[in-house]
Amino acid sequence: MDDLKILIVDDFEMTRVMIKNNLKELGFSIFEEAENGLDAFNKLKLAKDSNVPFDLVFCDWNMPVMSGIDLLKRCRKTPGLILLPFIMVTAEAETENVIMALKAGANDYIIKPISAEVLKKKIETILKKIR
Amino acid sequence: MMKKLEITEQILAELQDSVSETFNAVLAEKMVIGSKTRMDKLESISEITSQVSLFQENLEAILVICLDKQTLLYIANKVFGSLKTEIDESVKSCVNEFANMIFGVLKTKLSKYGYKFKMSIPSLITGTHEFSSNIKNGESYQIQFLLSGVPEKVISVNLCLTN
Repeated sequence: MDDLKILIVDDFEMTRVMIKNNLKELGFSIFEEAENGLDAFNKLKLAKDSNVPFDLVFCDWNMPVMSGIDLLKRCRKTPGLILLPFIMVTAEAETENVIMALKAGANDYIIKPISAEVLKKKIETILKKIR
Repeated sequence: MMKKLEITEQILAELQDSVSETFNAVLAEKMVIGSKTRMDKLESISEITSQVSLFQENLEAILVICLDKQTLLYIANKVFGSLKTEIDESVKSCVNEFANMIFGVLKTKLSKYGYKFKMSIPSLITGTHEFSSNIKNGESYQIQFLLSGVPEKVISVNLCLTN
């Protein structure tokens, strides 16, 4: 499996660690982390401008400074980030939230709490879609 | 006009399920439901507390999760796969993330009853403290949970209405 450069965005370290550990088990090794949407956007933009762009983003919804949905909308308006595979990982499970995220351009949606088993299955499905 | 939250047996059952589902998914451990008590006042009962506010048009209630140091370290070590002995920022982030996930699950369950809650970002309080008067004097229920693998580890979850 080719390695991908993955950005994990969540204000809670616990979720970042859980996602990272599951991705490691699936054979991925190139990660960066961000604690809010703005931090993530700066990392995405810097990586793109440096010609070492990210291949995939896992992003929480509710975060201080800039929310995940605002980050997603900003990416979809930024040349070079318009098609970046973007997965929302959130405790917001209501249909209207899912629809809002998909309309804003999310490629998929994972609802917390995440079990290792569910996360692995979801990641495998997502990777099949984006490859 | 939004329907205001009322605590009924059904709502408490949904809260119980939200807590059990969250801990079961993250820790792969079943929760044993302990005592369920109506309390006259909300008081800080343990070392680490995370609280999430429940808003519709106004603040209606808070969800409070209380853990002692040993319980929190047990959970954090399971999540991080480490052997931490002190409560650092990583360990603290666990309590808030559990509060965030439990409320996320509960919020979805409550939407079936016509409630449209918004969730605040969880806030962490360390040490004993006083809750603000509109919370501490409101109707309050406490449910205790035990982790099935380690029954001495008690987690208290309080749902408190504003008065």
